[in-house]
Order: sequence, then structure tokens, then C-alpha cells
Amino acid sequence: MSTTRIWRFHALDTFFFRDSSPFNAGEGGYTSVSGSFPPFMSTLQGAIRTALAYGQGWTPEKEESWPWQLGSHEDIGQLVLNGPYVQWNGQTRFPVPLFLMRQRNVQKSRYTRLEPGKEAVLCDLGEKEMYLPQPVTKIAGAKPMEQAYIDKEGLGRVLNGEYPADDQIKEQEKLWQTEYRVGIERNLNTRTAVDAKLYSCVHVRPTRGVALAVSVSGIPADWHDKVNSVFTLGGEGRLARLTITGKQEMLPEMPALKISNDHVKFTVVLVTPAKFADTRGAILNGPPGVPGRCVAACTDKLQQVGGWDMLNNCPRPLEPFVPAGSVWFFEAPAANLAQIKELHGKCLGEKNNYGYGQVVIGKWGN
Amino acid sequence: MSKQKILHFTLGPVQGFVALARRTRDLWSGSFLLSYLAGQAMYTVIKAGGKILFPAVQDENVIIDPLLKAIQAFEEKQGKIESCIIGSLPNRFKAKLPENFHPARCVEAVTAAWERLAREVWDRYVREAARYGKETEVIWQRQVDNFWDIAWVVSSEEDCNDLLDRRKNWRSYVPPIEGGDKCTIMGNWQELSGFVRCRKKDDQEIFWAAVRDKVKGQNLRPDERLCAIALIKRMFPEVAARAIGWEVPLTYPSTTYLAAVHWLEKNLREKPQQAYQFEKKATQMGLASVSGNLSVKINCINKAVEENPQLRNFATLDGNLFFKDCLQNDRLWPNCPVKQRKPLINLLENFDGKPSPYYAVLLMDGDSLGSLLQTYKDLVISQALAGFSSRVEGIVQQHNGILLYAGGDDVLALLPLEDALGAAVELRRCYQESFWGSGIPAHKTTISAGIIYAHCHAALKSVLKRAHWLLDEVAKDKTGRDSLAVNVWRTGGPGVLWSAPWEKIIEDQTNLLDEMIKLFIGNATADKHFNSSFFYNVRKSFELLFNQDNLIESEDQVYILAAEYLKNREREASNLSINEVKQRIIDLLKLCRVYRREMINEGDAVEIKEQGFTADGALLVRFLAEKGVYR
Repeated sequence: MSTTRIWRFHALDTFFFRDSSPFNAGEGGYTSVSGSFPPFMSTLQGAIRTALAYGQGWTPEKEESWPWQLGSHEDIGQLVLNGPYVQWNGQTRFPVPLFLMRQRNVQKSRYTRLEPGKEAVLCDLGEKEMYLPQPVTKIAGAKPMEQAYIDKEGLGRVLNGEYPADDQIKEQEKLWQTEYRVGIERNLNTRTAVDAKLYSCVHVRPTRGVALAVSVSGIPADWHDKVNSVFTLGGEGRLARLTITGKQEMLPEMPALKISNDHVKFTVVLVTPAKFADTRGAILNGPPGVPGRCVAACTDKLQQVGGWDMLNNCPRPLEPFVPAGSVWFFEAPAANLAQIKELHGKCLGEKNNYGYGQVVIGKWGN
Repeated sequence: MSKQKILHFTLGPVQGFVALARRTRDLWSGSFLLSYLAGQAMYTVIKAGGKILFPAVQDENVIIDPLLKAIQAFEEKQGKIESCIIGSLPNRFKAKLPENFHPARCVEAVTAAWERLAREVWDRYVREAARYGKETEVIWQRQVDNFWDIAWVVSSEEDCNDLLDRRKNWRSYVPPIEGGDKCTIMGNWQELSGFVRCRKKDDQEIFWAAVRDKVKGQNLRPDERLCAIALIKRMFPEVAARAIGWEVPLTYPSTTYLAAVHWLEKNLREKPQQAYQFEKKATQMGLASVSGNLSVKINCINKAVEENPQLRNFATLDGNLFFKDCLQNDRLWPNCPVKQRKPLINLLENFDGKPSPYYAVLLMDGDSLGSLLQTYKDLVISQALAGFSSRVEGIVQQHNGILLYAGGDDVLALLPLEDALGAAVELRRCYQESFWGSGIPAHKTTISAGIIYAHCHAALKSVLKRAHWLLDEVAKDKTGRDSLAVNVWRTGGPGVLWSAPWEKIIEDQTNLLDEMIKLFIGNATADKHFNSSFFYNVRKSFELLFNQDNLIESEDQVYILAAEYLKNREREASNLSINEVKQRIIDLLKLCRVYRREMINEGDAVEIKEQGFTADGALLVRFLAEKGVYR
């Protein structure tokens, strides 16, 4: 019997999830390798599966004892993962949807939102005219919050067409900070630094109380109990402390959608990055499986995700992902309402079992 | 009568092309090429009978922008092309289109010019080496064909100036899938050999050796493996004459050279014999520059060489030769063992002082230009900006810097540490003056600046990324625009971080930072007002305390710091009055307040609020003073 559990990874010091830049010993000088945060599930799934495998008695010396339930180098077997979600003091924080704009003030910020413009215009996006996103209220200096996170209640308000309170938004720099580090090579005999062997890289130091949460299901309940509570996560031998708790509802509730002229207007908001077979098609027309017509979208610069193929000892190709926070504005016949409700919390696109493409549904056009 | 068509056009990526650079020449290349390609799109509109509304590049129907003029001369095969090496065209423009003109023609113009340049680089440097690669031509074509992110919108009204911003909310650029090992400079793009290093290292090395053989000289280091984009940027100066029609500088001052500029200037003037000896020895060892030319001239060095022409070759030496630790670093001189370099290391001792290892990156950008364009006439603003950008080069040169880009309201320059602040102040004044008489209130025509004082060994692309963050997130977002933000980047990474509205830095034509630096250094008759230990104590003991809301009032902070100041034994002996001490602390605190500037009354006025305390203002003073701001 499988049971969903929430795995929370807390940094014991810093994390280092490197980007795709080359990072070879003996090279460089005048270069530095950056890290990114939060990591993609492609990174975390490896740590999760390895931890589970160790708990079942596997070791790297006994390759054949790898549990079949955990898949192979190409897939994750029976595991179903959701997230990762950034949490702060147990509260889940989501990338702020890109339709929300803020004019930042010391006393109280002002908010507006982007919605499809009233008039269509000709642009490079297509042969026909498009309704480009437009602020519903013009506020000078207001802009989308690309480096900020919103809590569950705040996201619920925003999905419902309202605006968040200031304290429901947290800037990324309050959740984690980058830390520039210089590394050395140690001579194990003399226990001193080796000459001319320096490298620099950029770690991430999560603020106290910040954790990465992943929902893990698809395996027997007792498997979770046999996992070590401390192990390496990411590069540079960084350690994470793991806590495992019961299932928790991460997402806000879907708001009631309004039917008008036998049609319903709704937003599809990504809470995790998404991979699509036809990325450009998804950007322009919305994720596959969503009923109705995509009127407009607010999408951010694509993220490129790769990794390392351990079996073939080579980099995995860098593939484009639509980032979390991206939003599509849809209009559909009211008859599709039940199908639309089913989408809330579902994963759309490819590799759903990795948690990619999880969406929440909101409303627009009030 | 058919409706007019107004085109809003943008070309990117900006940082993803320009700021991913290892060398200063790469940085210049990227800035220039982006400007050049945008110019190709503009020229296509003009040639078809359209008019560029923004930026101001035409006077009636005559092109006045130097880069656009050069493009026109080349495209129209005019006999003489006045070469242009500054990217003066922004990456976005607005134009009135002629009848039946489809914006796809602008896209085609950009693509054609880019492919022409790519073809030159491929033919000269990669074609022959490609046989040693694995699908090199496939990689090349994929990257060349899919790099640029071009977006456009057409409106029927002239004043729809928010359309491009609205379009950019719907990002649609999809990069190609990139496998294999990645470029050592642009880490999201595959390197050209096509081999994976941990499986086929030898094959990869053979390919790159063949490319290095073609590019010659110092153009490709042994540990560089590049993608098509990075290689095009790197080799563009070598093929410019054929690709764009005129020559461009082949050498740019390195970060080590920039850091050493004033040391170099001083020794050119005061130690000519030693300079001559040093250069002769370097030449003997084969370490001198091959061309003996520094294509891009730095003002003070130029003047010193004019006074002593026989020292020209000394002034064109590799900047690494002026630093002892660089001379001692074997990796920089693979063909010259350290034993051979020893005499040169010894000769360094004969010069006056040691060069500071820091240089400055200056990035400036007009504030809220989008909002201005929605409220005021394009023509007024574009003319003001054209006036500003025409003076930028002169100001940067006057401050011994090299200008990489000056288009519209943007400036990117590299300068010696000692000159960056003065250049920023002067550029800000010039920007404000450009809008006099425009009818736009002064508090709306402001410009923000970010200065990074970077160690010359810091990774250039990391420094540039940080400079953009400093300008956008600190000077504009956090501090509220019309501000200066400064960050010091040491060998271990970013350190001291400080920002303030310009109004709090410049009082009655006096630059507060300069004044505090003078007080820190002191002079023959006056004591040094401050010392390092006092500044570090302020950070260690008081920063946290003073930032607790309402715990210690501003006035009490003065007394507390005055008491701390007097604790020092030297101060006790100096018989300073408490009022003198208080005044010193009050002056210092002007740089230690955290401010936020906000528009109030619906943008009709500005308010500056105090938001906290930072010792980084004081530590910045110490850094600049100790690194030799005052000569």
C-alpha cells in the first residue's frame, strides 16, 4: 500500500546546484560557476531515489540490488513526485504569478494585474492579431515580481481576483542568499592547500526556516521510515537534513469561477516548471489538455534544464522548461466547467510523475 | 486613406549576448554587434521610406547617428565609410512604416547581417577545423539560426508606447536543445567540437588545436572551448572589415591594464628610465605586445606617451606585467619559465609604488523612461537623449575610461578605480542638462548608476551580471531611482555594498564621498579624521543595534558614535572638542544612512525616507581611500 509523505530538505550549511557551465579541474581562471535555487526535480529525484534505495539495502557495490520500483537511469519507476516547493517555517511559498504587478512603497505597496488587452494588435507572435496582456489599472512603476514568493493564502487571494497583503509576499533574498566561495585542493599528506589549485563557485544559503518540500508517493509506507535523515544533496558535498511528515495540502483552493454568457474565464498558473513536447505551441496556445481558447499569456524567460547521464557518462541535453509563475488566460464554454475544475493541482505536459507542470486554476475578467 | 503603421521593435537577448564575456574585447564586441544589428533593422525601415521616431537618429530625412551612417554607407556601397566603434543604437526602436512594409523585413535584415558575419568567421576559422569535429557544422548552424530573440508590435497610434512592454510580458523565445559539453563562456550553448571531454578528450583537443592554429596569437586560450556565438564575438574584430565594411580595434585594455592605469601614468612621467629598461627586458623575453599598439587609447596614458614618445612600447605592454603576483604566475606565461621572468620581477621594484588591482565597471540607465514616453512627446525625449549620448564618449575619455556602449539613456564603461565616481557624477549632470528646456520636470528626468569596483582577476561575466543587478535591484528598486549604488568585488566575491540617492551624495556641487575620502586620508597638517578600526567597530558593534526599529534615535546615534570615536587613545590626546567630534560623526553618518526615494502626490514630488543604518558607507570610504583614489 503506498502512502504520500512530504519530504523536507533543510540545508545544514549551504547548497550548490550547479548550472550547465563547464566545471573541470585544472581549467578556468577568471571564471566562476553559478548555482541555482530551488533545484529542479531532475536533481532532487536522484537524491530521493538513492536515499530510498539505501534504505532497502542497496549499495553502489551491489548494483543488482537496486529496487525495481525506483526505476532506471531513464525513469523514476513507480515513484510519483510533486514539487519541489519552497517552504518557510512550514509555510509553502510559490513564485508570484507573472500577471501580478507591484509598485513597491515603504508604507504600503500598490498592486495591479495584467489581463488580456481590450484590443488585438498585430505582432510577431502570430499571423492574426493578439490580445497582449495589459494592466487593468495603470500604476506608474508597477512591475511583475520575478524574484518574489507568495504564501498559500496570498496565492488563493490572487487566484480569486483579489490582491495580496504585503506580508504575504517575500522577496527571494529573504528566503535565500548567494554566497561566493573560493575552493582549494588539499594535499592530504601535508594537509595544506595545493599551489595554484583554486576555484570559485556560487553557493546558496537558505535562510533559517527555509526548506525544500517534495511530495513523495508510489512506494510502500515503510520505505519512508528507512531513509537516513542526513545525506549529501547537490554538489560540493553539501549536506541536507531530511524530515518526513504526513501528507499536507500544499495548494490553495480553487476559487469559484463565474459563468457569463455561457462562458467561463479562467487562468492556468504554473506552480512548478513545465516541459512540453511543443514548447512554443504551449506558450502561444496554452498547455495541452486545457479546454477552451487561450486568449493571452504572461510567460517568463524559459529555463534550461539538463543534468548528468551517469550511465553514459555525458551531459544530458539542455531542454527548455516554462518557469513556474507563468500564466495563461483561457476562455471556455461553461459546459467544460467540470473538466476545468479537474485541472486544479494536476500536472500538465511531459514527465508529470516528476511533478513538472503542476497548475492551479484562478479566474480573470472581473 | 489607410491608417498609419507604427512599428515597435526589440532585439535580444541583451545580457545573454553582451555580458557573457571573458575579455574586455568580447564585451565591446557584444555591445557593438547588438547595436549594429539593431541598426540594420532601423536602416531597412529608412531605406523603404519610413522614419525612425525613437531614438533620434535622423534630422529630417538625413541620418545623423554615426553608426547608422556607417551602416548606410556600407549598404549603399558608398566610397568612404566613416568607421564607428561605439554602439550608439539601442536594441529597441519605434518607427513610422511606409505603405506595404511588413516588419518581417526588419527581422530578415538582422538575420542577413548576422549570417554574413557568422559566415566570415566560419569560413576563416572553423571550416577547415570542422573535419576534426563531430557534427560541428550542425552545431554551428543550429546556434547561428536560433540565437536571436526578436519581437515587434504594430500600432496605428503614435503614442502607444507601452505595447513593447506588454509584448515582453509574453515571452516566446524558445532556445534549441543543446547537448554535449558546453561553451566555457556561454554555458547554455554546446561547444563546437561536439565531443564530450570525459569520453573523448583527445578528439576534443585535436579539434580545438586546429581552431587555435587558425585564429592565431592570443585569440583562444588552451582552456577555452567555445560555441558559435562566443567565437563570433571573439573573432568579429578580425573579420569586421569584410563583414561590416570597416575596421575596428583589435585590442582592448584588459582589466589588469585598466587597474594599473594611474600607476602606469605616474611611472611614465616620473620613472622614464626604469620604464624604458623594463620594456626592453620584456621585449627581449618575448613578452611584449606583438603590434606595439594599444588600439583603444586611454586619455592620461595617451598624454604621457605624447610627452615621452620613446616610451610608447612600455605603455602598450600586457597589463599582467605590471603586477608582481601575475609575473610570478606560471600559468600566464607558458612559454617563459619563472627563472627567465625573475629579472623582470626584480625590475618592478624600481618603480614608484604598486598598482592597485581594482578597476571599475560603470553602468548607467535613465529612470522610468517607459513612463516618460507615455506622458511626453517622443521627439522631445529622443532629442534630449541624443544630446546626452553624443557627449558620453567625451566624458568617459576625459575620465580615462573606455566606453563600450552609449545608446539612448544607457551607458556601459570600464574605468580606472580612481575615475569612476567622477565620471558617474559628470554623466549624471550631463543627463540632467540634456533635458533642460524640454518642459519635463527635473525630478522625472533622472538617471541611476551602478559602480562595481572589481578585482582585476574576478570573472568578468560575473562582475557584469552583478553590475546589472546592482543598477536594477539596488539603485532603482531598493533605493528608488535617481541613485548611485556601489559594490566592491574582491577576489573572494562581492563585499561592501552601498547605495544612496544622488541628492544625498552631492550637496552644493560637493561630492560627499570625495570629501569623506579626503578626511580619511588626512594631509600633512591635518590629522586623519578616521581610521580603519573605527569603521570596523561601527559595523561590528552598532549596525545591528541602530537597525532595531525606534530603539536608538538618530541624535543619540551621534553621541554613541562620538563616544566610540573618542575611545581611541590618539583621539583622547588630540584635545578635540565634543562639537568637533560630533560634526565629524554627523558628516560620516550622511554616508551611513539607508535611504529610499519615493514619488508622492501621484508623481508630482519626491520624498526621501531614512530606512536604517549601514556601516558599508564608511567601509566604502576606507576602501577607496586605501586603494589610492587621491593621487
